[in-house]
Amino acid sequence: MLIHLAYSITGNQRCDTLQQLVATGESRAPFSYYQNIWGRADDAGFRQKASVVVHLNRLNVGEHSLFEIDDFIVSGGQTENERAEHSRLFAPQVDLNERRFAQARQAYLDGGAESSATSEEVVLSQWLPHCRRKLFFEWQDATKAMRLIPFLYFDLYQRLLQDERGLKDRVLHDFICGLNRAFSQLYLRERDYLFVTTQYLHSGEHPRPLVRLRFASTDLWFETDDRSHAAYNFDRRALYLAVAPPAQRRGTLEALRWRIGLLQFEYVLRLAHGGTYNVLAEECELDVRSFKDRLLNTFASAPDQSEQLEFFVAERHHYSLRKLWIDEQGIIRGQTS
Amino acid sequence: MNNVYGQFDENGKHALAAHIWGHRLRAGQHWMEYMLEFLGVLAGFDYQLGQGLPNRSGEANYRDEYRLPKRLGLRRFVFYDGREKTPDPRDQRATDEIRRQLHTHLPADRQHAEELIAQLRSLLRSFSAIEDDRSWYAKSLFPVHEEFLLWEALRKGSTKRKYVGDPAQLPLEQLDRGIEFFARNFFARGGELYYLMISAGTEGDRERRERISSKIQYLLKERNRALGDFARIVNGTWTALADDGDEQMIEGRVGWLPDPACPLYRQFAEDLDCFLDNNLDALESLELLAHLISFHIVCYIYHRAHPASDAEGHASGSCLEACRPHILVDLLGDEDGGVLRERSAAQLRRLDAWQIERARALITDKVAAWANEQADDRLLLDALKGQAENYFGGARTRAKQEYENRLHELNISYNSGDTSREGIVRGVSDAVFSALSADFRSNFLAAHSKLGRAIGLIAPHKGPRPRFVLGDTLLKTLVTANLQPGEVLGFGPMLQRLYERYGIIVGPGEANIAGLTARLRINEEYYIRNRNALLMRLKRAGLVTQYSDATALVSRL
Repeated sequence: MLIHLAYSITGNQRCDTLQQLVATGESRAPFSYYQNIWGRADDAGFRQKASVVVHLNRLNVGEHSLFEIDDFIVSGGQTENERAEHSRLFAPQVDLNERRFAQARQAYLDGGAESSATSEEVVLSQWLPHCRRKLFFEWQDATKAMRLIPFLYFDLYQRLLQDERGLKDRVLHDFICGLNRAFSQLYLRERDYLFVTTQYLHSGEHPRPLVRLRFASTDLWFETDDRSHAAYNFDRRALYLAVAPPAQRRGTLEALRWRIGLLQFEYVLRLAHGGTYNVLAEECELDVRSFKDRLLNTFASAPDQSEQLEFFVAERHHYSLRKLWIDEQGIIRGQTS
Repeated sequence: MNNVYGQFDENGKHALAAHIWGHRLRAGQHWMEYMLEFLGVLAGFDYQLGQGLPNRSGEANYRDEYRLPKRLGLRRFVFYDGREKTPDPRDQRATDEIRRQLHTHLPADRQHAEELIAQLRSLLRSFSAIEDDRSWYAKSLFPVHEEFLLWEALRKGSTKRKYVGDPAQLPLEQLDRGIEFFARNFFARGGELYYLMISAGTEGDRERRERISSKIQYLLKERNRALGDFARIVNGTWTALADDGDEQMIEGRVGWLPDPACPLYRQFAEDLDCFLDNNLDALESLELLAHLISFHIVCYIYHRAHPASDAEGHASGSCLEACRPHILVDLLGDEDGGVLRERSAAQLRRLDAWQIERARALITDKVAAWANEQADDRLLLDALKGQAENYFGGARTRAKQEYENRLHELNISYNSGDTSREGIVRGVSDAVFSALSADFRSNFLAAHSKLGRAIGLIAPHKGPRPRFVLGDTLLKTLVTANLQPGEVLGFGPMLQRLYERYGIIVGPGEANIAGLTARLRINEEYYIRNRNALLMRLKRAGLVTQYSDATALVSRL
């Protein structure tokens, strides 16, 4: 089982590829990574990493090329400390007395300009994913190693789960901004109100999202909750966004809660900080859409029967909210800039 | 054709595809148009299904024709501008008049009013559903409200001739001259066909009919009223100017649908009925409805393209089983090295080939039947030629020349005794097929993949090697159309349902039943992974709750 996991979860391989290797008689050694996580000292940094182990398969920790990390692997570090760390990590006894990785590395470093063919490069780049995974687990410079996890807001998410004081309010405005962008598919800048919009997206024209509902930031808050898990004897904390009903319906309805997983959190915050819609879209788009549907179902009494139209229009450098309505005399009224 | 639903023109000559798939579907039609037309026809019959059939006229509350306002004012206001493809001074003048008239509905401050007009126009314009490369009178709006329903039109000769007169001299009502709404041989009428399908599928089920039409009526009349009011005001300005406030109506008759007893139509009606019972936002609901309609049209094309499709099967109801297509959906993409993608693409090509085969079979059958009627060998060739022309209409231009040549050659070889009677029948069939196949391929064959790509049933959106997939919106649509609110269904039974109703194959179970496992010869593991990928997708979308490895329940939101 451990061997299996060493290949599959931490080694990031699939069973059938490995089986093919067996069939063709190729070496499987470079594909495994194994460390007994229960047998090592427990520290905060490690716990953080361990929490993504379930996702490790999909995160592809070894596949992300970051200059600092690859440079460290290849050059062996700049400072004295780094060099010591490097030789600790890639110790001779692990590397068959420096006969495998160290040789490939040396060949690459010494090759220089003479070797026109890049066979060394190829050999070395085969090593890289493996070494990155090794660094991810063993490097003492945890903050750098954490960058191999392709989540930008992982840290923030964990701190929110731990109920860090004051943090929730600060993140909330960013989160509202991200949700506004996710709902309307436009780069809105509104951070104080959550606008639940609906728009027609198949037009060649600029969409004009119609505002169906709006919530002030004071009506939204983050909640954490211990979800008891029957299978394990421990509680998993979960993060929720709660939305209070609109004022006129507050007596009859309860607040609506949306569970925010790490993926959703990342998706929304990336949008808030200028990310594009394609990142994590496959994982999150439908979920966000169904959250919107729920908000409209539950809170909008007759959302599309209101007399007044509120919508966003593009102006020079931003989007602004506009209103149009028809007064009793049948005259079209509206706000203009 | 003796068994049709709708208004069949006995003397009319119809394209090859129309004889198989009804009058009519064409590849040129935009996916959104199917819904627009369907809603247009329904609204034109006052939200009554089952209208427009010839044999029932005279019954109470029964109408032969659907009636829709022309809404030229709204259309001009929204679409006619300086970038117009076919500019015309008459339209320019009409647009100016509309804008001038609109000021009676605006605040007195001129500049403020102009800004409001611009804003209103851009708001309405943001709902443009069909633009492509069309002239203003052929563009359409997304039907967020009944007032937004526009019927495709055409101005005869506008692309060839420029209008040279001085429009300022014309009375206003003449500015609309030459705009036609019913050039039968020009327009596709996929939405009409869908209206007929739903009508046929609800024959004898009055309650379902009532539910469907009242839900759609509610969707189009009661929701997004503010938008509808704006559209009415804009359109009203032109009606007041040109028609003295009494808007001219379009009057249309429906086409026809083959084999009205086919249980597939009932199934579509069930889907629609279930789908409309939702709490979604009106815009979202309409978007999903457009997906559902296009999906149904694709299913319909495949259903009738199946080699086992015949009139008896459709009449007895055995066709659901016999004509089920194999839509092998690939959810893995590159994850499995494209194994499943390859197979899925092959299924798609197979369905493509079926349609061509179906068309060829129709011709062969017909020609054989005509040959049986004509016992006199000397008259045979001429008789076949005449019948084919009567039935399908002549071939066009280049194909026509080739067709004539081929028949001429047949004539010679027949007269010289080189070719038997069977040879003639075969030869004529081939000649007719090759004369008609160019039109068939360019105007019909692409319809299914065009629709499939638009709704996320076929990927990639553009580009080579298409295959079947299930896009997010389509997935949501299918779940909504198959599960009642509050109903839960196991993931396994859901897959089975998708297979039984539409022929969608995802997991190993359905692949086995369909005989794909044996035919495609790929490891069962691929289907298992495919199924798991779908489960993951549904889970992320919140459509599935997983209780354990063995229990996952699908429910709509």
